[in-house]
Amino acid sequence: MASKGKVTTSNVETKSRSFKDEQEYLEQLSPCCWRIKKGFVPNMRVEGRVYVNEALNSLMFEELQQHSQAHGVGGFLPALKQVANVAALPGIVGHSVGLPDIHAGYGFAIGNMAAFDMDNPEAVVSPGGVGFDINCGVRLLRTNLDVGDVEPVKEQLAQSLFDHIPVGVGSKGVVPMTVQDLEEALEMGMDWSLREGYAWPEDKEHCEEYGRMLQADASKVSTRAKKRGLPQLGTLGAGNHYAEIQVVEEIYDKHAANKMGINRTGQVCVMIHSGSRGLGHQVATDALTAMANAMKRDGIEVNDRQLACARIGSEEGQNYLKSMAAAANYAWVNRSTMTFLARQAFAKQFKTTPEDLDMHVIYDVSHNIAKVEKHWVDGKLRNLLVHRKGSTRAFPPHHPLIPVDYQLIGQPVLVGGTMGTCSYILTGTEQGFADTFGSTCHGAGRAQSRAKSRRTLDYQDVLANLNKKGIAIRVASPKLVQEEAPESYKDVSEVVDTCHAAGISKKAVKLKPIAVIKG
Amino acid sequence: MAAFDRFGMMPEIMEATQHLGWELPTDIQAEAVPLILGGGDVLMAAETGSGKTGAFCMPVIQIVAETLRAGTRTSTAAATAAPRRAGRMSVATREANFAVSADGLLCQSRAEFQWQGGRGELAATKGAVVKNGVYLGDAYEIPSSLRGQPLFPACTVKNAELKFNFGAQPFKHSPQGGFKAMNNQPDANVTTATAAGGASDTWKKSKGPVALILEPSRELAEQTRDQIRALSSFIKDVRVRDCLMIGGTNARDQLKALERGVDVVVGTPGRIEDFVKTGKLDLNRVRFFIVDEVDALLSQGHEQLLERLYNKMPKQTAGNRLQMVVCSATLHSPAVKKLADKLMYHPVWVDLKGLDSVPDTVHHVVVRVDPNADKSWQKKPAALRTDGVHAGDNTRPANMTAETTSEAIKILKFMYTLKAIDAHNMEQVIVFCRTRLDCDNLEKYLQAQDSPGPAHKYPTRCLHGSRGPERRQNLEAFKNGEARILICTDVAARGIDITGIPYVINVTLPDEKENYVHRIGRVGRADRMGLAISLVATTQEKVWYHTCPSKGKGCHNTRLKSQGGCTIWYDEPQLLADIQEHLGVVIPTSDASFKIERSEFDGKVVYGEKRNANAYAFKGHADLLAPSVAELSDLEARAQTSFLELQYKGTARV
Repeated sequence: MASKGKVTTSNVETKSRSFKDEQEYLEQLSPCCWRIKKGFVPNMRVEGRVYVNEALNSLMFEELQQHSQAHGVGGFLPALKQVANVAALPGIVGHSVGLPDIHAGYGFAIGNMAAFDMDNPEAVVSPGGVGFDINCGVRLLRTNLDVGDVEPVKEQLAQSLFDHIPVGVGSKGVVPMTVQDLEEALEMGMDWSLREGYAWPEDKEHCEEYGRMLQADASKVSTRAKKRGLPQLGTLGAGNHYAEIQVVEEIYDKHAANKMGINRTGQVCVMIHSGSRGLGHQVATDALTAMANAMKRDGIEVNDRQLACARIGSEEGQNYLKSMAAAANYAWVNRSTMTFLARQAFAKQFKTTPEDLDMHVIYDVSHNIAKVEKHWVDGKLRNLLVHRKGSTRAFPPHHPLIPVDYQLIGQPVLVGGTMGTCSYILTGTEQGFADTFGSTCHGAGRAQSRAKSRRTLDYQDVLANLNKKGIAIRVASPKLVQEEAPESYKDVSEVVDTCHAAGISKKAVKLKPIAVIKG
Repeated sequence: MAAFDRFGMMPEIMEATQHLGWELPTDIQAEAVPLILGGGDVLMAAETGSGKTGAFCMPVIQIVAETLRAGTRTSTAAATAAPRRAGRMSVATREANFAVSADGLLCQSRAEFQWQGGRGELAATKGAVVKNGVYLGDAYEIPSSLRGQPLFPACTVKNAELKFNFGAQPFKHSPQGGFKAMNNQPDANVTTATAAGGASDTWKKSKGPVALILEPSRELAEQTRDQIRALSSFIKDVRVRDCLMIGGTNARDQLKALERGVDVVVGTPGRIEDFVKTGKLDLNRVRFFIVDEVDALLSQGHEQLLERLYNKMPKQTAGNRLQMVVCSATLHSPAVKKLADKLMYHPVWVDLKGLDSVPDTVHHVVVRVDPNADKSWQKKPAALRTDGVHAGDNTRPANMTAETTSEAIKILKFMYTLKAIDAHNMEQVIVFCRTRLDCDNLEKYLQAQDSPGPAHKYPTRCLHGSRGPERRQNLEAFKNGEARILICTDVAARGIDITGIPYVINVTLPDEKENYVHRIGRVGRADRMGLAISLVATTQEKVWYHTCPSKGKGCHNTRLKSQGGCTIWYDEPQLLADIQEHLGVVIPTSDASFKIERSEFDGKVVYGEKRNANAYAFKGHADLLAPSVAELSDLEARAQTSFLELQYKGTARV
């Protein structure tokens, strides 16, 4: 049965305010940045900051307006309220930050980052701040092929990728796995992939955390989660996950692009967007249930019962961090396995080796994760637990946690567009490090709920549109594609431009898809 | 935003889940709901009580509601939609090994020993048979019932390839006598499987259900219906009408509901078949066929029924394929696999149970029942009655025949059951018997142990098919603790949601090895330790096996089945061996004292209590690595500190 645990909430749903009153609490600081003042929701410990530009803020305000018209009844919390509710969590420092691709999620909005002070015994960790798909992320491989090499065999290549990479919700992985293997993979992350021969040693270098969170403890992952995870390792999964063959369309920062091995427009890349599948989902679910009880015990009060959390130092908090790390390792192994399969598919198609095709991992980013990092806050150097949900780490040049190859340009940030729209590579900036704890957007961000897309779009039209754009597409469950149609999402270019304009990351390369594989 | 939103669930259903207190989707729900919403056939296995019912109820309600909405919005859309496509072979309506090319004109099957077939997308309302330009006369009469009905071109091949020409290219031998190729026919002479006319006319007229849910027992059917009702309670713009069709209830109300029209029917095989046979339940509108606990239905012998029902359902309605969802306690059974191959269309397996294994919260032991070693059966208690298989045999102890041992086993098993209950002072126990008669006899024996007076020592309830309306009360009595002992058969126990039971006794081993795991899985749920004791005879026992029409009622035919009778020799030693092989373990043995050796397990265990420590097998290296991890994170912190000091001191804004 689903969790029936009731969470203690102070249950302080503000008496419904008019939209006009609500707007009093919002102030535009710059063309791309809004401030959420204390009092927007009760108990806010810090202010909120939301990065949106002209084109995107209408969506956000519409949502808030609907909410205040409905007097908070029946509907779900708008993203702005969620950002503010996070600002009310114990131990939060700086601001609760909303990024341009923000939309409502479970507890935390997707596109929300928040940092908690590790040295404050009250500070919490919240599974909702990481999300269900732990370490969902994007990986980009480059090739030395040109669009001219791929275009004639695009359909075959798409089919070959589709045949190689198991997709869909219930799909099974092709890599033979035993329970023992899974335990090891949870513990070792990409070191496991490397040991088993699915990854190249260089892959690890270009991966956040080098593809392995050392604090992972497989014994903290429930049997139920492992049962779900075992057959799914090396599978893409449904929802917004995809593998795309992309072509470099525009290079904004030649120096940065060169460092990443991208030296011309028309160069072909492969993007893989996937996460920790059912295992991560179960780890999050287990933790939410366990924390509901811990909150009662420790007397933690939150504005929204979906914000289940536990003190970082508590048993529940530590267990979650260890199991989350294990789930993160699973996601890296998952993406590495699919990297292996994609390399195989390309090598077969072009009758050569992946090495000769120069299919190196440019970078691998995590969207949904919590990490311990050091930042300056209020003139003090602090040790923080940074939650990023639907948000990508974007560290500036010279930061010690980014790979040697990228020390001079800053950390590459991969922003995957929606099915059939373009994707971007950005780089981290010093301003971003100072303003948003080194965080930026992660993708386009939903503009309408899946249910609404289901109602308003026809999957056949969506597929026909992609066809018209000359994109080869292979989908496992075509009836779900309308949920992932570009119409359901914000415009990724607007999102990226906002980040660029706000200075929290810098545009380097734009890619456009020529083939899409989806679950 | 509810967690269920991730699946694209209707807001109304999400509201209902919140109302039900379902904050988070369970594992099976997270895996299966998107698959079913995506239009696929799904085979799923998950533990009882894991939200499996919700996993199929939610998407079913959503699709039913979507269908109803579409029906009210654009009732004629289908008819006026897109111009007619050129004739081609249908990709949707074909057998598994029958390949159709992308243009739909080339068909092939390379299966050597199997006929495989498919049909076209367009149906003709008139036609003729001509070969190489020569009219061969009437090939066959069209039966009067089919006259005027659209007929689809169809073919079956075996290791062959066939190319079709619906008129897209000129014919080698152009048709004579005014006959024209399908593509050149006026719309009036042609119909499609998907557009209006034919199928969908009946679809619109039918008052039958959009979804049919088949359950093996009344309790399950009721539980499912209740869930459907609860989950659809917030849908206001259309009404999802449900109907429960189970035995033991008044058929009149159900017939009335059918006349008014229903959308979701939940029922048990008997009543459903009855209504379908008599034409009262029309399956022409069914888009969803859900078979819950299919292994139970199959072991009840309903395989044919499933096929009959399936064959009555349209495989395509208004452009949508019939969708089938099958739930099973295990997917690793040949019978389930066979059924899936036969009826389902590329099903996706969602297996959250994996191969059968005994949960680590269950201790199970075997107690040998050996009439040669334990002679206590010779003093048979007066209140103890056996099933009477040996009523006509000389079973006096002096005459040690196979029949005598068999009778002795029966006596001993009942005595042992009582002893086991006493030895462990069992707070609550489920006792599994093979037949209804055994259940009744054991109940009487246990009740006879009670001293007269109000204080029952062995409050016992019985749960099996012939107990009728009493069943639910008995189940309730056990659930609320009024009854200490619940005696039941496998069939009756299936799917009933009883948790936290500390003990199970198998008076007889089940004849299907999968059932062993189901039975003992009833103990030790929700991380509570449980003990399962199986009484296993050392030799064969002769038992009833009624194949007679009366199903045992008043049947005293004790001849063996092979001789046309109603008994068999039940080989428990063999069954035990099978079970052990199936599970890959040797089940520990205890003696008739029922003392469980402490050394066998991890110290002292109180059954029914929460497990204290996790006896986890895999030892990770987390502890081992901890010092190095700490050292590394310290290094990392120092690197960050030095960087931050150098670069940002005094400039950071957050």
